[in-house]
Amino acid sequence: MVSWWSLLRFVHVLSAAVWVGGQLTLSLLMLPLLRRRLPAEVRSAVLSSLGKTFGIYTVAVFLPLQIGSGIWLASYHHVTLASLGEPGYGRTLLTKLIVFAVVMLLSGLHGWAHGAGRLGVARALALGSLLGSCVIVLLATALVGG
Amino acid sequence: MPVAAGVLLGVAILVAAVLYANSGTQPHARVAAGPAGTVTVWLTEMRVTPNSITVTKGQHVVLRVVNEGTMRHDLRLSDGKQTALLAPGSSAVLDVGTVTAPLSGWCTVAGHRMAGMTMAITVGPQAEHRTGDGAAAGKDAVSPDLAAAPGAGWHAPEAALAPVPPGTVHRLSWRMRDVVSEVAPGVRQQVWTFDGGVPGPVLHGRVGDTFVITVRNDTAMTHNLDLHVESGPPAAVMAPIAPGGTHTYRFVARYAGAWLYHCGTMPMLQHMANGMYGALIVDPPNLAAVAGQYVLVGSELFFGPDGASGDYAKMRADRPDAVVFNGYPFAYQHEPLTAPVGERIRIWVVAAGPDRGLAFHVVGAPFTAAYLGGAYLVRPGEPARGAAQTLTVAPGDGGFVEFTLDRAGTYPFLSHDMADAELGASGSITATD
Repeated sequence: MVSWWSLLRFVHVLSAAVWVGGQLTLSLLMLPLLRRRLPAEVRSAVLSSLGKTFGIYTVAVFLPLQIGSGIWLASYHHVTLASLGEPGYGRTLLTKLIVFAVVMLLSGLHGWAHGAGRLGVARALALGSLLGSCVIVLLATALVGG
Repeated sequence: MPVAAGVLLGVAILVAAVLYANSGTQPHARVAAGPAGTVTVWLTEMRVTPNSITVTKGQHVVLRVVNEGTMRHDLRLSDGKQTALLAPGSSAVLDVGTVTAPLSGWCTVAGHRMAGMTMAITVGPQAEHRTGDGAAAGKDAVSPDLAAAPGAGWHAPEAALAPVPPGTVHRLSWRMRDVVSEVAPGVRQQVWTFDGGVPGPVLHGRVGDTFVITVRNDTAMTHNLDLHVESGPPAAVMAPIAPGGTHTYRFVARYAGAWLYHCGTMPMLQHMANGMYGALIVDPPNLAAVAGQYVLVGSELFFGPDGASGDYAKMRADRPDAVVFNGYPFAYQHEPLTAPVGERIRIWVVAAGPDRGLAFHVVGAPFTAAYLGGAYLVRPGEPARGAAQTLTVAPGDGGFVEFTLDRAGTYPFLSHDMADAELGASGSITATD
């Protein structure tokens, strides 16, 4: 049955899909293509502005939407701070929140490393962030599956 | 190098996350201290996990109820709060509120509570392990006079065996439904039916015939069709039908016999005792022509509250209120079967139980042919070799007897277990010239 709550969950899932999908598209499709097709000086500028745009989208749209809808959904499911420590559902949700924080941190560090010209570090952080996002999706699946 | 570092980072996150998320077990839950505690409760067949939860007095408790089973379940608490009926895989949140006194919980789907789907919420520092209290809900129907006259408009269930329909493929369409009907004089019960009646329709065919039975489940419970004549893994050939669902059962009657079919859904005892059984008659080759054929299906009734389904506690205790042929006590004393004098008739007998077999006996008529479980105990036409006095049919088995009534009159028949006969397992045959 489609209710207002399923609409809220839909927004949460769609927003996550856009973000993880964006990471995957940028890292796995666009980067290798741009590296082959663009000369070095143009490439750096394009990558920087892509990264910035994605960063601005993350802070301005993705984070408020995800955190807002997440808290709302948690309240609907009667999640309390105490229940987050319990084995099972609570602990899986807590793990998801921790990994989410780690991924956001890695993404921020990636932006900083890229800006500072430490491209190797930036790549490692981007890949770590991408895989971390996949872990979040895995945990979300575990929550829904019970 | 950066790629390897990134992959290492990702794998580290994965391993740490899975290890932490899966840590801890909760066979017995204790709600964490705090303003409110959430406990996840799993529903499966036929268990609630955890089945005991200890809370601090005055604590606000919330249950996250997940149906991990293959059937529909719900959870109802003794204070009246309950979840909706949950489909397999779905979940619900049950806000128990502030708990100050012990509560019990159970699945309200018929039979599941008695089968063990119970839990308890206890108050206090010590965990107290409790299993279901097993109390049957409601009161028995008033103990009836089983031999009293049935209500107006009542007629004995049709016992005559219809001839095999033409053709070798028999297509039928059934609608499983719950029906409230008079099962004994003055006793109205909700019976669970394959197609509106108890027993279910009599199926009749010859060896090699194909049956195609399309069954729609118009009840709120999962049911299935367990055909004793079927070969193959039950999960495939006796597939369950969810509420609202439809399934077509196809089978070839490969073997002759008087076969039982029934609902094989757990708890089977309850599904059968509430009426989900019937007979499949597959004629052995070269069956002699007779003047009449009847089918009698033996079973037991366990009266529950008026208009409700049978009492599961009585079923478990093997304590029937009535033992019946074709669903009604003494049905054929009220409206006897008939037979012409001096001509052979055949009675097919199937014992549906759930617990009792039949010692089928006709007073004043030795059986000159008896057939059980694919073999003739007494072959027709060989009187010097002997005759049979009872046909002993175990629960889940079936056979037939043939006999001739020599003179006009009334011939009682019964299950020769006298307590069962007094509980309704008797009737009569009127022989006329």
